[in-house]
Amino acid sequence: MSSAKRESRLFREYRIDFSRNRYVYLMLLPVAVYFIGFHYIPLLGAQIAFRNFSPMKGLWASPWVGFKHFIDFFHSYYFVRLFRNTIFLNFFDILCGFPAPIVLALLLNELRNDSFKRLVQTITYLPHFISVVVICGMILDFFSRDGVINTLLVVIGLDAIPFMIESSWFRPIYVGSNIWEQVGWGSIIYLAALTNVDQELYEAATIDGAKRFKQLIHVTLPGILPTIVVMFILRMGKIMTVGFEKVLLLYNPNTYETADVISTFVYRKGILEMSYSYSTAVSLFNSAINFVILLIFNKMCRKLSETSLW
Amino acid sequence: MKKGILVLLCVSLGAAAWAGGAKEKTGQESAARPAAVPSQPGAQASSLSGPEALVLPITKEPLKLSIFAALADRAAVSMKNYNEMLAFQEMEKRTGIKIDFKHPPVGSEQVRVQFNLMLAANDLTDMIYYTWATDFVGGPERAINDGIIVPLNDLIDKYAPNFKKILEENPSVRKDAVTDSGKIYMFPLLRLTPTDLVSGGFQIRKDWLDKLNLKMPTTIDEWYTVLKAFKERDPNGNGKADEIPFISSKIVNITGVERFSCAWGFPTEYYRDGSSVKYGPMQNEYKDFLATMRKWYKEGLIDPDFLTSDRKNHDAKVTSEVAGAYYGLLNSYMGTYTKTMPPKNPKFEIREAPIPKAPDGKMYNFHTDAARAVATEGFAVTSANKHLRETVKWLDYYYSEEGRVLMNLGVEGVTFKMVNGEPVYTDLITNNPKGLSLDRAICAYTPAGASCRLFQDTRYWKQMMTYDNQKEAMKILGQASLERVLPPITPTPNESTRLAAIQNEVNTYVGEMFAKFVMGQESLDNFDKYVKTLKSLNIDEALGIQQAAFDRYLKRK
Amino acid sequence: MRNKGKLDWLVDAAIVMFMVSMIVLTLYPFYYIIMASISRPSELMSHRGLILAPLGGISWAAYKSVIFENPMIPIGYLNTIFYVAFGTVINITLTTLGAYALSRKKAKLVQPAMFAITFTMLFSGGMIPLFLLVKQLGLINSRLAILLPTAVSAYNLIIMRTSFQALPDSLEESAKMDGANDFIILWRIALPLSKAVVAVMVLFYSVSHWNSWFPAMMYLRDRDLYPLQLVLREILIMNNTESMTTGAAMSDAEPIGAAIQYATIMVSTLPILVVYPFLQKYFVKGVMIGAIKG
Repeated sequence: MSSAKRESRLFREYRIDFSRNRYVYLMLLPVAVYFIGFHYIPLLGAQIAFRNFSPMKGLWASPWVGFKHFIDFFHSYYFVRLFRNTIFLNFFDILCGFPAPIVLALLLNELRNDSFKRLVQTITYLPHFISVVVICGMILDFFSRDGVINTLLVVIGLDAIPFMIESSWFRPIYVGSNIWEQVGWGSIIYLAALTNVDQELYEAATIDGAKRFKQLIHVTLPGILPTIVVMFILRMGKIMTVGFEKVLLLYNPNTYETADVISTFVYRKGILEMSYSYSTAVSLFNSAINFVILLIFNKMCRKLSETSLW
Repeated sequence: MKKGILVLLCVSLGAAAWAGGAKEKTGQESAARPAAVPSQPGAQASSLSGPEALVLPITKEPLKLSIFAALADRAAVSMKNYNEMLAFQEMEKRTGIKIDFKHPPVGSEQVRVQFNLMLAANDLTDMIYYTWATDFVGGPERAINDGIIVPLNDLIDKYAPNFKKILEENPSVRKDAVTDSGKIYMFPLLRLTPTDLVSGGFQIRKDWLDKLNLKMPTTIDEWYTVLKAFKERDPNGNGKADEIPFISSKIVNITGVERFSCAWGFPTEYYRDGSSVKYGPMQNEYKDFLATMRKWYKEGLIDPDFLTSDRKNHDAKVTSEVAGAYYGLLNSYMGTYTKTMPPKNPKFEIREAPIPKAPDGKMYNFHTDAARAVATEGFAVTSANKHLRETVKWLDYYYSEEGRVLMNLGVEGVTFKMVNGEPVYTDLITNNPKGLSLDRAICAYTPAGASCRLFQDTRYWKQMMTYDNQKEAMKILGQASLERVLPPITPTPNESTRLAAIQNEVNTYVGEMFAKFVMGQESLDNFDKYVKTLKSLNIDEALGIQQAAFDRYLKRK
Repeated sequence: MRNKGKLDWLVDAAIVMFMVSMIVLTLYPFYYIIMASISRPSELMSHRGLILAPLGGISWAAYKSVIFENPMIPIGYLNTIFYVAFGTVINITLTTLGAYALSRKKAKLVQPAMFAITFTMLFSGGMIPLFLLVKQLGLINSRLAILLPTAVSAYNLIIMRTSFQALPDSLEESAKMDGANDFIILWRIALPLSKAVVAVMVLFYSVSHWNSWFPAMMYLRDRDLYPLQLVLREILIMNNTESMTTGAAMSDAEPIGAAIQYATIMVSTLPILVVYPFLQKYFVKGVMIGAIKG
């Protein structure tokens, strides 16, 4: 087929598509305008990562430096450690923190007493609302050398552990407190998904003689699988993004070994000099990695489960 | 899928082109920003006879000037904008100039962010009160060269008699307020009374010293004796060995433990030795310092949580009477504890310990952030200002005798009374009906201790130091020498990026190693390895940059 | 109802015990905060460890300071209510329309659009370009600067879309046969069946507006427009820095920094805690999809 013919076929296909689905595109319009306006246009500004941005000169007149900031970043004495810490911290967070809300939602679903169920729900989501500053203050207090936890340990007969000073304890405390904060809130989306599982499927399963556990495996889990998959992909897409404020509040020079992540290092650098270019460059680097991971997982999930982001 | 992306791309590109056009305009505007040329509107008296006298009101026609400045938290409890403050309202009456204050949200980070955003948007106010000496990327020279602010030398000669007089009588002031090429870039906040230049020091439970029959420690060895006694002889008298002789919290990110390095003659950062710039954590003597701290830590004389202890923790340890000594500020540590503890324990007494003597017998004070004679903050006049003469006169008023009184003590009859020829704060301030503490009460009416101030009057400061131990502390700390403190120097714009990159890594490494050495996780035999690593992190290059900047500073006129 | 064997009772009991321990673990810190906020501030200052009762007796000093002595609190509250209300309305409208549209696979542009939207979740130009854009639109220091730049959350959009995708195709087909267009299908059929996810969206968006302070910090100059969280953040900063005071004034004789922090937390989270139970019923009751056979 000649290219002219191919083009006119394209146009026709699109014209048909537009006319058949005009309401769909109409609905999509405001959202599209929003994303183009408030996300894609400012995205052009991401080029300050390739320039030496100076607020006085403005965006377009700041000198172009190419990949200099990226190279500076990779050559940093601490690059490997920062990268490793960022990945590991996130990895453990996902490993332990991702299933937790799902488990909680499933368990809540098993409760028969509605008011008890509501009570548990209402209470478990509370920690999500406490500001990170207060939570970290409490963690520092409870886990300090003479804090509550150590007092209990001593009572049982064990030695006091300097939790906040030892690098090896940083990750468990970080991940553990994350779970505690977010498990209730995180279960909301799964609970909502659970309500959408067709009751009739449960009845059919019961008739077929399936016990509780089997029903869980064969009805409930498949029913919320699309939600789980989507949430998982979204979570993996944030693998380079670690809760910066929380790490900042919980770490100290003695735990830098495991706790210092890319964002905190760049933050300290920012205190010394407002280098937007450098931090944008690092941020682009993070985003690129997140993006690649996202693509990989999206493809995997599409092959395995038919659910994917796009 | 491919076709779809193509369509989307076209749409986006179209939108981008449209926006790009708009953006270019901004770029052109920025690029076309004129290099600063101070304009001299109207016919003015020539400067042959010196600057014009300051006559009030400054202007007969209504004039409005805008100021970008932080809303100090002490003031924020009483007002939303400085134009609610009595001192500024009175200033408007006297000068005829109305001020439009633009405040960012409270908090120093917010100020920094908003400042940079304001620059990026090219939306300057007429004056900006900011820590120009240290927080402007590339230094004040760059701010002038890039056309943000105007150099003030000629303007001062013409219109600022009060400030000019101060410069002539205090040549050292000028050095700290000019760029390396001699341009005066701001009207700085001045503290001209030397005894007022103190912010903090080692504070100790005097009642414990008395109880155990110990003298106030003046050297590191004496400190060791005292701390050991605190640990072993139960000064809080409760029969438990729960005392923590030295506790620590972070002030400006430096722990109290690190402050002890002054007893070896250097801080844990850059300092000057004559005309050389040196770096504390690299000196050979730093090893001795580490060894001593390590010993103290091992023997339980230092709070094991010194790295993580925050202010709240610190307060708890002091008020539950387990803490023996700490490094703290005059106002908020010594003042707060002196106020709150005696009702519970009348014997409680905190006194200032002198700075421990260095091996050469001198006392070196390195804590100067809040107490420089020429502060790092002040008013700069921007290139958007079209009323330079009136602006400079308005700023000069701060330095005049009436201006000093107005901006520190307030209005006579309202906030202060004359008693034996000296201004004394009235009950409105000292016994504030709304229950405000002293510093907040003052800031409800004047900018003393807040932002937007150019002169700290000693009569204000003396009345802030209400307690005897604070007054004594000022005297004690005043005996220490400031000769090793590095003045605010500015690297060149290129150098400052390099310096920041090196410094971030060096700081991380030094901080980590300090913790490891002191807490015993790293053997001191590895000190040489530590220095080698520092060098591989380019500390020598950083020192070179600092030295060059310092040399330029010394040459400033 | 489902089969319940003997083992089931054991499992039930275990689940209940687990839930109870969850309650204690998550409730205690909140209890701590409440107790701390009504403790006598000077006692709070010297206390370490568990708090089981208000220290030194009940004192409302912290609340007094946060709520009554600060003129910005009522202003902040009113502003936030405005932002939450109008913001959520804008959010839900746009997100629902967009999510439904994006769940219609038959439209060709849907897949690339999803890609484009997901892309924005990862890559951003940063603070400065966004600020410049808002400035060029003339929105600086206006309430719209709080409502518009956050009009749609890609994350929420994706979640809602997933939920719409789960609706059986047969619904749409039968409605189309009856002559309905996409809007009518969305309004009459899809939405009523999606109450749970709409409730979730309302919750997510309104909480996000409630907690938001960064856009306000960037775009607002007029303190009369400040939302509550920005005001509270200022309070926390003000009481954390060395402006802890000294002096001869008698009335606020007690340093109340720590207590103020806790009172601030309570003031800012209490409304949400009150509202949540109302939205909760959509998650607890099972919502039957209903069946349209064939």
